[in-house]
Amino acid sequence: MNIEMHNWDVNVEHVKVDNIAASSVFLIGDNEEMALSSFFDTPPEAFTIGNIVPLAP
Amino acid sequence: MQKRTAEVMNIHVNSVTFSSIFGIGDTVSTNQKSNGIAVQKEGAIFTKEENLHFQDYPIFKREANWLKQKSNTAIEITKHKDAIYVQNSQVIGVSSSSVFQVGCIDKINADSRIKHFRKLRS
Repeated sequence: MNIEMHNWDVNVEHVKVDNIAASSVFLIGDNEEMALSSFFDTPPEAFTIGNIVPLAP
Repeated sequence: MQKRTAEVMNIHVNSVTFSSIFGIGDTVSTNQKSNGIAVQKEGAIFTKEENLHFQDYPIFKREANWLKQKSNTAIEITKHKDAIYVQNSQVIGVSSSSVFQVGCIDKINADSRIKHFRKLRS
């Protein structure tokens, strides 16, 4: 496959980012190759409570 | 490869943590890895024996499935304007194998693994 790319103007006024996390990229510029991998795990059993407290009615 | 320059008037970054990169200028390649166990515990008294270890959990041993073969696409880039202009950029956090780059970066290789635990008091 052939790609022909023409880069013209890029003008950005304001960028506000809260968080760049877990193998993410915020790039102002050029790039050739990115290989990003992220594993995330919150299994149900990760949420442990001492003994089950009945909720007030 | 015709590279453009990045012109940024002002940048505000609050925190860069856990093998992350905040780069200004050109970078050739990065290779980042980060493992994290996040424990949210009520009545935060963290004792020694309650420490959690990476080798106990398979998520940190699993092989990441990277792309097998490189794509054979021919890319021909012509740049008509030399620069990328950004007035202000504001970032609160760059964390766990992440990259905030102003300028060119050719190759990025990042792997991050996070396991969460929430322990509430009985």
